Order: sequence, then structure tokens, then C-alpha cells
Amino acid sequence: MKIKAENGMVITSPLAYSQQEVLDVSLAAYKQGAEFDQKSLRELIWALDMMAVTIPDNVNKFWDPKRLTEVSKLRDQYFKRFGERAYDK
Amino acid sequence: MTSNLPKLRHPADTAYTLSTSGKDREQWLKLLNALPASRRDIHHHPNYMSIYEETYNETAVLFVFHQDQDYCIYPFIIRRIEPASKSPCDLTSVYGYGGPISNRSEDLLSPKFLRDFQTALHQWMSANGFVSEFCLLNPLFSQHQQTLVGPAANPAYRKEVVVADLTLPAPEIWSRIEERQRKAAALARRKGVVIEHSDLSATSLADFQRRYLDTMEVVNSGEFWKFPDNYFSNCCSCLGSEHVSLFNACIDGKIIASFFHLHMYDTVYYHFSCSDLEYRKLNPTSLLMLDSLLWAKEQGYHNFHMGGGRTLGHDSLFTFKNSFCHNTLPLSSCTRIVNNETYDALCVSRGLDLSAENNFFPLYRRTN
Repeated sequence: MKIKAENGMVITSPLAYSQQEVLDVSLAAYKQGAEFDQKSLRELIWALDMMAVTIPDNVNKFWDPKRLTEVSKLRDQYFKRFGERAYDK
Repeated sequence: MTSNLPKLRHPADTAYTLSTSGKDREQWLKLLNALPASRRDIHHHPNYMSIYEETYNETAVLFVFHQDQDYCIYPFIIRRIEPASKSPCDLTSVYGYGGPISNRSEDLLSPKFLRDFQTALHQWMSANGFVSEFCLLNPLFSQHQQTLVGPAANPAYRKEVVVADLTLPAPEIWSRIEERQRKAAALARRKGVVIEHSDLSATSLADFQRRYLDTMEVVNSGEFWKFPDNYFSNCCSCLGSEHVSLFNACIDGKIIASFFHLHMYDTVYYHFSCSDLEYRKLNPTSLLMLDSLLWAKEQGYHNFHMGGGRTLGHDSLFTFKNSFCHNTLPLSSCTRIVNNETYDALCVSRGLDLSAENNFFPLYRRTN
């Protein structure tokens, strides 16, 4: 027997889904103009990117194009505001 | 299996040995579980030692030293040097790590305790015909162990091992993975690679072992890495299935790579892996490593120990592991000759040059 959820979710899905709600709230707040400092914005980008890979459903659909655009915009904004990429490596 | 060596009862009964079975095992577990949580580790557990007793018919022992409220425990394997039952023997840490651990932090141990422990251990080894001692100290508490072994055991730096810090938030763990590996994992998912948490049935373990041995053949590994048929099943039966995880990367239902992890207390040890080179371009090992890290985080572990490379340097295996966290710890070994005369005689009898520069220890076990 292989332990696999019906919808193709695998071992990382519990972690990813446990963060989905927090992430949605953060993203909504950011879009409504809430003030995000460098650390918070960087963590939001990390979380969005991680979710894209840890939830197979997201990857299989190549993410919702709207969400992809949002992440791309966030990266641009981060670079313009802080003059560096969101990742060190 | 129990040790056929006599138990040592020192004056004041401060030092003795325990075997992995019966009442000894119960006492062993009491001592282990009374250690501070950060210093409890699978390599000091009697069940871990039993894997090697069962697989190789070796004898595992816990040396215990007490003084007032302080104690330290030191698990190791006793190996006969020659087949004869009265052959001299040597002492080595089990596969992975060994070395002593104390219930007291290193900065609070008295010089007297350290001195008396080292004296008691040396006396016990001498009295029981040991020729040499070798152990690898656990990088997670290397400083603590180096204090306990003292300079007489010649602690020496060997190489770096990779250990991911799982106490960080998950997105930060993700951010420490190099971009090429993040992209490789994403690509694997898009191409349909699925990671499964396999059961540990006899069929699954036999299948893993077959694929593991195939991988060892392909990479032309040494005989040391070709474990006997019962090794992986012994890992499960001795430790219990709750301490073993087998993850498979699959494409269209075919397993193309696997990771075999052992986990207990605060740490997951990436123990063994295998992969089918034909499917290398699908990056299954990158996805396996990402999912293993996040799974271990989700399970509440604090450390994900990936180990080092195949060599003492920064080879391709080390670079692969390090690209997932960029966090390394120094690995040190201890080597001590207990009986110089016998050590030299064994080397000479095997035609080994004692004066030559050599990192192998003990030298008399060198086969090539």
C-alpha cells in the first residue's frame, strides 16, 4: 500500500495547506495597502513560491495565472524598494 | 545478543557495562532518557546498536561511568580482530556516530569527573584486551563530546557534514535552498514526479534494497556500502517502523529514486538513497530532498542531518546536500591505541608499514 491522498497530494501537503490561510490573509492585506517591512515582504514571497512547489495541485495547474502575476509583481516591488533580490542564493 | 566480556565493577561501583538486552537494556534506556533532550540521539539507543548486532553478529556495549549526580554513557561495538574467540579486540562506534554523552553540560563537568571517566575507560579497555579505540563524534554535540573524550583520544577534524535547521519557519527553510534546486524540484513536479511515503513491508524493503545495490554498482562503491540482505529489514524491526521512513519518487507508477530515513528524538537522519540514472533529468532526488525537509519540519523534528560527501572534501554529493541549506557542522573522529605492542605486532604481521603516512585507523584493519 502506498500512502497517497486521492487528489495527488503527497507528504508536503499538510504543511503547505496549514499555511495557506495565513498566506491568503497576508497577501490580501498587502494588496489592500497594508505596510509590509522588508522582512515581512520577503517572507511573503518565499511562502508564495514554496506553496507553488509543495502543493502538487498548484504545480500541476502551473498556478493560477492571476497568482503568478501577483508573485511576479511582488518580486518587482521588492527589488525596487530594497535594491536586492528576495533570495540570497 | 549479550556481551561475553566481564562486567567491570570498579571500586565504588562507578563504572560498568550494559548489553542491549534484558534488564541491561532497561537500565540503558533509563540512562539515555534521563539525558537533556538536546543530547538524546538515535546513535545512543540500544535498538540502533541492535541493528548491527543482528546484521553482523557483533557485540554492542554501553560503558557507563557514574560520579555523584553526574554520569556519562558511551555505546560502541566490540570487534574481534581475528576469528579465534581469544583474539584481541578493538572498539569502534557503530555506523554513523558514537562517543560519550553526559547528563551534565560540558561547562559544568568537573576536571575530576573528566579525568576519572577517562581513567576508568582506559583501565576497562586494557583489562579486557582492547588494542585500539575509534569513534566518530556526533557533529550535533561535538563540543560536548570532545570535552568528555579529552586529548588522550586524539580528537581530530575530518570533514564537514550538512545539517538543516528545522526550527526555522518553513518559508525560511525554503529560502535557504539554492535557486537551481528550487527550480529542479518544481520541474520534477511539473513533469509528473510524485513523492510517496511508502509502507515498510518486506516487499517494499526488498525492492529498495535491490535498487540500492544497483545504485552502488553503478557508482562503483566499495564493499562497505553493500549491506547484507537483512540490513534494511533489521533497521525496521530493531528500531520500530515509527522511526523509519521510506520515500519514493515515482513517474507513471514506476519508482525512480528513494530516500531511506531514520528518525528519533530531535533528528531525522538521511540514511541511504538510490536512484535510477536513466531518469536523472527528471530531478527526482531534488524533489525527494525538498519533500523530506518539509515533511520532517511538519513532524516537529529540529534537525535534518544529511551527512557529508563520499570523500573528505567537497565532492558532488556534498555539494548536492549543501545546496539545500548551506549549513554545515564539523565532524571529528577519535583514535586511541590502547596496547601499542599488540597494535604494532598486528600491523607487522599483516605486512603494513607503520612508518608510512596513513590516515586509516586502526591500520591493522586496512585491507588494500
